[in-house]
Amino acid sequence: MPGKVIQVINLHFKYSFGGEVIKGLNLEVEEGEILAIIGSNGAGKTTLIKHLNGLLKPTKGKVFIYGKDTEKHSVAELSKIVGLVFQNPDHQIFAETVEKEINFGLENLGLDERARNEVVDRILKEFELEVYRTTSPHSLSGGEKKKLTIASVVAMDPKILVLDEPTIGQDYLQRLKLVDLIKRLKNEGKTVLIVTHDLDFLMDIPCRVVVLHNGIKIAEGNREDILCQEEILNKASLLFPQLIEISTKVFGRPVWVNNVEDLGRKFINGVRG
Amino acid sequence: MSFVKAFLFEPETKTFSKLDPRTKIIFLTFFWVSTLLFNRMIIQIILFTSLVLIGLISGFKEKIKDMVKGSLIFTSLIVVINYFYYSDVDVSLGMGLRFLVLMVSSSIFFASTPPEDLGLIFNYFKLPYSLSFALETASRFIPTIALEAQEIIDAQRSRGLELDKGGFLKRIKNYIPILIPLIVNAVQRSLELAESLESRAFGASNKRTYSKKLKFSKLDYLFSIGMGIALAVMIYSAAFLKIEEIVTLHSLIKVF
Amino acid sequence: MEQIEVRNVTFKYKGSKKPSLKNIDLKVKRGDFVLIIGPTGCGKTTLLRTMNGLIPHFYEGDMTGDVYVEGVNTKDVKTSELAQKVGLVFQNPDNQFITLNVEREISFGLENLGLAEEEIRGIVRETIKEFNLEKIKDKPPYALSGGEKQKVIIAAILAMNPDILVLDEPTANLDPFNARKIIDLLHIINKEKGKTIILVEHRTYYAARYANRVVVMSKGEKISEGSPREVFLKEIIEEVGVFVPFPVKLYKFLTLNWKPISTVPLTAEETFKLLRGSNDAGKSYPSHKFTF
Repeated sequence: MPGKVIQVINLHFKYSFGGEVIKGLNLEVEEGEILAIIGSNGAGKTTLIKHLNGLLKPTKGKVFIYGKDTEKHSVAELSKIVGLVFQNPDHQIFAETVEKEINFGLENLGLDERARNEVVDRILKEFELEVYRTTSPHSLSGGEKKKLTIASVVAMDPKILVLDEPTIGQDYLQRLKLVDLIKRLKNEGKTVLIVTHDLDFLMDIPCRVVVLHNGIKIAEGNREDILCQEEILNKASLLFPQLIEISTKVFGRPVWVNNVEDLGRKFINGVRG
Repeated sequence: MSFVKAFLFEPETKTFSKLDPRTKIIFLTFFWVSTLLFNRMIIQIILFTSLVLIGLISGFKEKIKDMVKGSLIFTSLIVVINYFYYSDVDVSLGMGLRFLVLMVSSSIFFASTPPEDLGLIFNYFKLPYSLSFALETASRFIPTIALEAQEIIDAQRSRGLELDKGGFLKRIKNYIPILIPLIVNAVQRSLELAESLESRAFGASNKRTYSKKLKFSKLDYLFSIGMGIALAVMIYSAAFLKIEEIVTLHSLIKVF
Repeated sequence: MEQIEVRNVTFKYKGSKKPSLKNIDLKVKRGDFVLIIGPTGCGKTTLLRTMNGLIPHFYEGDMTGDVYVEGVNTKDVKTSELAQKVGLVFQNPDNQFITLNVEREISFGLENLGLAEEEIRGIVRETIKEFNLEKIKDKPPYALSGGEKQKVIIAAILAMNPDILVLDEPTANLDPFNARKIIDLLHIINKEKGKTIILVEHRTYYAARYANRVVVMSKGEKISEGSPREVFLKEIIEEVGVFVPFPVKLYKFLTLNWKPISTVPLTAEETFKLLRGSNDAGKSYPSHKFTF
């Protein structure tokens, strides 16, 4: 099927211990879009994305990445197409320097030294990490570490980038930088999946939204639509984004607003009739 | 991993787990002493069978499976080495079984004894609390670390790392990206844990108390007395009857 | 003397070049709910560590100035003794949950204090009831959600009956739903049990409404202090990288583009009432009710 870069068909998954975590999930992702997968902890979000590069194989159902059946390809092969950035940077960084950290994935891809150096130089510049080139990644701040983990995955040039809870442990400034980064990646033509329970973060990122709860998809649609539906969000143990909570109070019903200024203007217009 | 797992406490309540920790110490003593007293396979078979029976009745089927599976390589090694040394099938198999008895009885002991109960026993025998606390912390954090190891492996595989690629040395090298984050996180965790301990007044008072009390139930008396008698019989037969000289596999074969 | 007095404290960790705290003065009254904010690395965590003696007893470094907790200089007493006055809760619930089940977690600190068995059992029973932990009291930590774990840890600390509760980003690892529950819980502990709360928190929208004082830090220095309604209006707050709650941002926008508004709102509810001209804004709390 043209345009569909990810196809998840009737996916079921069960860990060897415990019950079914994903219970018949269907999902399609188009090339170049930003898709947010939202849900509370335990909804099955992380289990789902571990299927996208074959870390987990379906108990039942199929997962296709650019038409490739994930069961028939190794994680190493799939990770050239799908870049997964895990929640906790400390589970990933290990090298002596920032430069070597970025180099690691490139070595695994089998690039020669010249090609690797070229990519490392470009990525360090793009991610504004040049000053840290020879610094130990362990000595970076939480925000810089996060940036580095994304950079080292982007360096491998995957067509699809998956970010698991990117805002966890990040402060306000770091979050703003993440927004810019995601928008830039989209402009470069990447397909970006954001897995999150942080709906405030999505207020700054135009995207399509899929709501996961107890291993099934309970809703799907535009951000403007889904984030205003209290019933669906409550069912998934999620809260209104703060701005929507306020707009709901002010207007008596959930009204989509892009930002505070938009909310203010809509209010003033309403008062003036 | 199954080897480590077999030593972890199981929070599910089983009748055996509810026994007083002192009873479980008697249970452990019986099997350790008995198995060390004898070399011959026949006695070890009896001990191992009765141990497995007690384990199965008490619901530790999985633990026994884990333990036997986990110590299979080491057990075979013991059997082979002993065979080279004694050139006696009977003794070398007996030694292998002895190792299994030691391991399985210990795993049942640790699986059924909440680490806090270890604290109580340690206190009962006037041993320092820090020892039992170390054991308690280990059982608390091993599952956490195992989960973390899995996350790290997943994260690095997502960056194209192939663990089982290359020759022997390359394979060892493959584990560096796993080991370093694991160690860094362990250090971080121990620092945070130390801070938490300070905030919970750990070591504030010399006279630490225990909210739980040791108590012997009827079942405890029954079990301990039974095990005690069995232990006495074992020691008596080892010391005076020289039972092993009478009941060897060869002698049994001769009888029939 | 106030309950906590930080007097001109400067602290530099051993091996680091720059001090993490520079000439900090801070007074905390009994029953205060103090919200400490600032970007990552501004020294908030270090400041908290001075309040229960982890600095200078646990972390090595150069410290000048003094910290008094209920009249006692923290330099003169052990951290474990201070634990009975100041309870400290950290970010990662997994590394604070010391034992293998909820009930035992609550008794752990009490046993360390050497209380009598009967007394411990009584306190544990009460705590479990008060924090509504009956359903999970036998569960091991890995069977609990992050929010549940953090709640148990707060309960375990409060079982030791400290007068002051100090929390270092307790919701950083939680989803917003559970984060809000924890912050609401702190409000209840502050109001109903009269405990002093000192909270470092990025989620200013959920926390500001309960604080009677906000302290802003940047690069090791205290750059602003006051009531939340004053502090969040200051331009410098956003400049140093602290999230200003949306009601305050909306207030700024509307006073500039519409007409003056009497009070700075902190919650959705207050915003609504102010915009409708009701004058009891500033007193009400959100209609949003949570049950644990």
